[in-house]
Amino acid sequence: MSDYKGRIFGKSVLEATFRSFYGTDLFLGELLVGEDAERGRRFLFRVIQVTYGSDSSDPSWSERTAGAYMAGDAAGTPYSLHDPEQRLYKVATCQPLGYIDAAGAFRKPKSLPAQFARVTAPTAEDFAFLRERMGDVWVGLLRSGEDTIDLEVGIKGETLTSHVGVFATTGMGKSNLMKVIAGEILASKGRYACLLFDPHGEYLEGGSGIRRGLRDHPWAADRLKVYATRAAGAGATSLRLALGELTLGDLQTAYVWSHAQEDAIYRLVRFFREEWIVRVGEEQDVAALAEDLSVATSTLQVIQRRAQRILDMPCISRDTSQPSLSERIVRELMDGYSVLVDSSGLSSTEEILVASVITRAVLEAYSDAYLDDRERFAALPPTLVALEEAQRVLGRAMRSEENVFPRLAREGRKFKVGLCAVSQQPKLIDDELLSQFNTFFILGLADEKDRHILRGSSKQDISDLGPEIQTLMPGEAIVTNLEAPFALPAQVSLYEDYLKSVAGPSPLPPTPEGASKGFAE
Amino acid sequence: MADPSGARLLSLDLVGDDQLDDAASFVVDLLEHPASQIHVLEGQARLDEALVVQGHPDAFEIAPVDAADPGTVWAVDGGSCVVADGRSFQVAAYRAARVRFAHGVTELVERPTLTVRAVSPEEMQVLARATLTELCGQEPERLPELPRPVDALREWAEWAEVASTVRGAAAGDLVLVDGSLHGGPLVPQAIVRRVHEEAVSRRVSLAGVVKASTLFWGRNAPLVTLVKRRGDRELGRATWAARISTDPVFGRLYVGDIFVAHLAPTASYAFRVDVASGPVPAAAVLARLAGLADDPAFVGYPYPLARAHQAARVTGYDVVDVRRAFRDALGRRGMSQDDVEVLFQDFHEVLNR
Repeated sequence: MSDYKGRIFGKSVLEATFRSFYGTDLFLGELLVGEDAERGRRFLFRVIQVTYGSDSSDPSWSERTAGAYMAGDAAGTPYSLHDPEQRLYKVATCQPLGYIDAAGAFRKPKSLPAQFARVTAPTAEDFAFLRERMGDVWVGLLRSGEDTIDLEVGIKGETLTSHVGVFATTGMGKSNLMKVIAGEILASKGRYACLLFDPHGEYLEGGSGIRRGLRDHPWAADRLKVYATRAAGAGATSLRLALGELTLGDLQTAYVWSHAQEDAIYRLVRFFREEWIVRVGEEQDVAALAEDLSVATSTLQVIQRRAQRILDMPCISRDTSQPSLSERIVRELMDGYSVLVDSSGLSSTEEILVASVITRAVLEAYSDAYLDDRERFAALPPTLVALEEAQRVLGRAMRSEENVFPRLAREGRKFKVGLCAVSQQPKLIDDELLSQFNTFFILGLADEKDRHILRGSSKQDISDLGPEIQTLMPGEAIVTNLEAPFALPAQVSLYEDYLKSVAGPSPLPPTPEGASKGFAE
Repeated sequence: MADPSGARLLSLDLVGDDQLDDAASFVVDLLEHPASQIHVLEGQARLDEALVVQGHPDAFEIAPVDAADPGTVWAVDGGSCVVADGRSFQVAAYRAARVRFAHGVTELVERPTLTVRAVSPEEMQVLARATLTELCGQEPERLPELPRPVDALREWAEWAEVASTVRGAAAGDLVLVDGSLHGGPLVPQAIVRRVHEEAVSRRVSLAGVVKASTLFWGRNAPLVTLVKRRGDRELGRATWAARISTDPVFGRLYVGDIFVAHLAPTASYAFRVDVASGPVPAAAVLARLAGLADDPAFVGYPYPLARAHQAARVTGYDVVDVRRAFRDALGRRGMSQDDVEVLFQDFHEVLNR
C-alpha cells in the first residue's frame, strides 16, 4: 500500500498532475511511476511541486478552517479536523521524464498515460535502462525525493574531458563530491587521471574531525602524487616552480593588468627576456628604468611590487637549474597518476598563478602529443583538471586570450583534457564558457541567479527544478549530461562510506616456502 | 441620440438609493422592539398554522454544556434537484444519505445514487398516499399540500432512511436528523412519532438540528439569533443550550424538547436543536452533540450531519450531468431534439443573457 501514491487526473504531455492520499509523504524530486496497463507502458515522473487539496468546493475553505483552528486555540478549546484522510489530500505536479514501453525500451515523453492511471513508487527495475548510461565514474545512488533507488549514478570517464561543473553553496557537499570523483579516478588504476588543486588542504587530509581525504584512498599509495607548499607528510613533494616556468599568460591569468602595465611588461620582456621578473623586482632605480623603457614610473612601480611578491613566494624558485616541476607533473598525469596540488597557504592570486602554470603545461603537452604523436596521444588517459572557485578565472572579465582556463574549456576536449570547475557562484562564470561544460553536478544553490544561468547551459531541461535545487540537502545533487535521458537526482556517497566500497590493490601473494633459497641446491 | 430621460433607469449601483438603509432599519427595529410571543412556523400542530406561545428571549435559562464523548452517531440528510420542470409535471431527482461516526472517525458513508421520478399533480397524490401510508404505518388522515414535489420526495426519503437507521441502530446510539423533529408541512407528525417510538424501544437517542430555524419572537425576530446574542453577552466563549420548549403546549405537540444550542465556544452560529425524549436526558444528548461540534471546518455544527449533507447533496455538476442524461433518455424514447429544447427552455435564461 505504501507504494501506491495516487491517481493521475491531469493534465498534459509536458506536465502531469495526480491526486495523492492525505497521509502520503511526497517530496520534491521524488521519482514516481504511472502505470498504463492498457498499453503496457510505465511512465516515469519527477515531482516538481506539491500542494494541498480538499474536497471543499469553497476556494477559501482552508483559510477559514485555519482561522477556526486558531480561534479554538485562542479560546483554550482546540478543535480537531475529523476524518482528515477522507477530506484532505495532496496534489502533486510532475515533470514527465519518459516512459518504458512494452519492450522495455525508454522513450521520451511524447504521449499521455491513461487518465486516472495508478501512481506508484518506482522499482530499481524501472530505471534499469539507465545502467548502461551511468558510466564508470560513480558518485552515488539514484535519488527519489529523500530516498534512494538501488541504481548507481555516475558519468562515463571518457566524458570527463567534456568538462564538469560542480556547483553548490557552502556546506552542500562540493568537497565530498570532489573527493568521490577523484577517488573514482584513482580507482580507475590509470585509465583516467586527475589534476586537483586543493586550496584548503581538505582533499588530501579530509578536513577536520573524522573526515577522510584522498590520502586514505586504497589506491593513494599507488596512484596519487602530492605536491604541497607546506609540510604535507610523507610522500608529498615540495611545490616549487621554477621562475622560468611562469609565462606572461600566467601573470595575465592571475593578475588584472591595465593596458599601460601590459605594454610595460612587453617592453620589459623585450629588454630582459626571461630575466625580466628578477630585473624589475630587484631594480633599485625604478624611475630610471621607467625612463629607459619609456613608461610611466607609477606603472612600473605596480609591476615591481607584483614581481617582488612573486619572487618572495615560497613556491617559486629562482634556481634556473631546477628541473621543471610542471613537466614532472605532466609526465605523471600522462602515466595515469592523479596529482594533488595542495596550495593551502597561498593567497588566491598565488594559487591561480600556480594553477595556471601547471594547467598550461598540461594542455600544451597534451596538445603537442595530439599534433606530433597520435599513437602516444591515443594512449594518454583522459585527464581532468579540477579548480576551486573557478569563477575567478572563468568570468566574462577574464576572457583574455592568454588565460589558459577559458582555452582549456574551449579546446581541452580535443586534447583529452577536461576542466572541472567548482564554484559557489556559477552566475559569475561566462555563460559562453559554461555552455562548454557537458556535465553539471548541481548541489544546493540558494541564489536564483545561479540557478538561472545553469538552466541556460544545462544539457538537460532543468527549468522546472528550481524549487528542488533550492531545497537540496547536503549530498543531494542533480546530474545533467548528454548521456542521461533526463536530469538525474542523485544522492552522492559520503566519501567515508565510499572508501569502504573501494577494493584496493591486491596484496602480493605470500612468498612460496623455500623461495628464498633460490634455485641452487 | 438616446432619450436622456431613460438615463435615470441606468445605474452602476446594484441596489437603489436608501433601500438597503430602509431594510436595515426594519431589522434593527425588529430586534430592539419585538413583541412578547414565540412563533414556531412549521405548518404543523395539526392546524397548519404557526404555533404561538408566550415567552421572552431573556427568560430562557442558558445552561452550560460540557462536551462529552459522542459514542456512535448516525446522521441522515437528503439532497435533490429538479431535472425538468414542464409546469404541468416535474422530473425530480433525490436521495437520502447517511453516515456512521464512531471512535472519532466516519466509519460508514452511504451515498446512494439519485432516484429520478417524473410526477404530475395527479400522480403525486397517488405517490404521496402510498409513501406516507408506508411511513406512517397506516393511511394518513389527509395529504399535505405538495407545491414542490421534489421537496416532498426528498423529505420522505430522508424520514424513510431515519426510520431504517433507527431500526438498525444499537442501544446507546444517537441518530441525528437534518431538520426539526416535527417533520414540517410535508411530513406528518405520525411519521415522527412512529420513528420516535421505535427509537425509545431500542434505547436509541434521536435529535434534529435545524440549520434555518423557523423559531421567531414577536414580529418575526429570529429567536436563535437573539438567544445567541444573549449567550455571547452573558457567557462569552462557551458551550451552552437554552430550552425553548418550556410552554406545556410543546409537550403535547413534540416528541421532545426544543433548544437553542451553542455547541462550540467560538462558533459563530447557534442552532435550534430538537432532542427527542429517550433513554438518556436531553442534557446528555446535547453534551454528545457538543463533542461532535469541534471540527474546525464546521465549528459548532455536529460533524456527522455535515458529512451526511456532503454525501447527500446534489452539486451543480450533478444537476448538469443528470439533465444531460435525461435529455439522452428522451432522445432514446423518440423525442425530437427540438421538443427536448422546448421542454428545457427557461425564458429566464434568455433574459439573463
